[in-house]
Amino acid sequence: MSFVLLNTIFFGHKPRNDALTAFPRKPALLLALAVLTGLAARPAWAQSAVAEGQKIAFDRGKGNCLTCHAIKGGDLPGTIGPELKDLKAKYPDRNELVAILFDETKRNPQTMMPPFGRNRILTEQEINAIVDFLQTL
Amino acid sequence: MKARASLLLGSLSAALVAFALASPRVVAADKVDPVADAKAFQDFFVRKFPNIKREDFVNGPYSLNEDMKRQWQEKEEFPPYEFALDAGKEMFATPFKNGKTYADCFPNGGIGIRQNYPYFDTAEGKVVTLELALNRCREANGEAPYSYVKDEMASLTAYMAFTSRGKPMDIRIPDDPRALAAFENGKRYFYTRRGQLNFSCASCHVQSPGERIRAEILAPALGILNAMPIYRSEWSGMGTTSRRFITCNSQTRAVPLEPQADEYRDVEYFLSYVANGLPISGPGARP
Ligand code: HEC
Ligand code: HEC
Repeated sequence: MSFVLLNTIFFGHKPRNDALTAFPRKPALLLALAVLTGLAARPAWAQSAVAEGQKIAFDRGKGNCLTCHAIKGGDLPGTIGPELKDLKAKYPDRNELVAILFDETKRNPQTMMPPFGRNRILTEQEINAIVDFLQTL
Repeated sequence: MKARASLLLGSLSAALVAFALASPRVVAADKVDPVADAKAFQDFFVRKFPNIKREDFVNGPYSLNEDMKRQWQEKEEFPPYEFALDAGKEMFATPFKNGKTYADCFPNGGIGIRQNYPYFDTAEGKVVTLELALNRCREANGEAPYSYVKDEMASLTAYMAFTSRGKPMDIRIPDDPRALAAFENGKRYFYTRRGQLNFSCASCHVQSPGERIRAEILAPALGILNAMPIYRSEWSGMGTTSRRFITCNSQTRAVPLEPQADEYRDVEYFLSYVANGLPISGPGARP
């Protein structure tokens, strides 16, 4: 067993394709905005952030989370990851969820889950919107 | 719990890697040993799926799921690859403009030899796949090469696979350091994560066989080439090994290589070698 799985790690730190991951640096302003979006209490747009988060999570070109996770309201889920539910109870601190989405290989180097933040698949705002949505599950 | 278990496995492996890195002796001892690799590889799948017979792994996703197996058996009554098989048989028998045929390029006239491909060519110092050998045969006889991914190439390899059905995969690694290096390179390619989504081939075909990725059931890496070429409904046609490698790379947002690039030849060598002993089942049909 060790050979077959361990190789994933031994060879796991090769340079990745930079052409795909390169991304223009975001202005500090946007970053600050993203942090605000994530942290500030904002009942007025909370609802729309959740809806936006669900849209990004289900979008095949964005989160495409259904590829691996069953999620309430989504069709044709895969079975690679666990069903996403009761996440607020499991991760009371939303930053834990942000961290999982940003780069789950930090917790589990062998995970199948793509590092959405680290590899710039999703922006901070998009991750925060998805986390808003995840907390309603 | 699945998430916990994989988390635990992850940190355990991380610890082992840290140990290996800290101890040069362990790294040095990690020499290329294809025989041990093939055994570990096969044992891993046999242990993971104790109810599946070793020779059944060659049926890809169909081996892992009873419902799918039934669908497949029904499909085999009117196999969708039959047209390609017939075309391939005819092409194989039709002489080139110079009067020679494919049979002149291959051992045993090309019949019943699929299980020996790819092989390491000690003259060239590289891996030669069946697809590559077919195009070289054409070019040597003054004919234009075929596209590597479908149509004529799929028909020819379908026919050649068919004449080898049931024969155990029999890939050799000659006593040549370059052959060992090709095996090792293929293995590295297979286990290296790449692309924006950070997947390796092993992420899908070693870590997750039998799981559904959306609606598709992931095939186990053991025997994954024995059924090539395959008919896929998704392609509404046949595809070769080259086509499948390119599709897997591009569908996971990694940059695909050219068909028959050295890495693809090497990964085919690696995957075929570790499937030694498992029967050729091609051509195959997939959902
Ligand atoms: C290719 C597979 C894959 C994709 C795509 C994927 N995940 Fe995951 N995810 C996993 C796996 C596997 C786990 C289990 C934990 C691990 O592997 O470390 C996981 C775990 C999680 C967890 C922790 C669940 C728990 O109960 O502890 C959350 C939250 C999560 N994913 C959210 C997401 C979201 C949101 C998306 C889309 C933006 C997503 N995942 C996309 C594979 C995936
Ligand atoms: C994120 C998932 C994913 C990755 C990464 C991936 N594949 Fe696949 N692969 C699939 C899916 C889905 C299929 C079609 C269903 C099946 O047969 O497994 C498939 C099918 C195949 C098949 C045909 C299996 C059969 O019996 O029909 C081969 C061969 C293959 N992949 C090789 C590779 C190689 C080599 C790599 C790395 C270069 C790779 N795959 C990377 C998802 C993946």
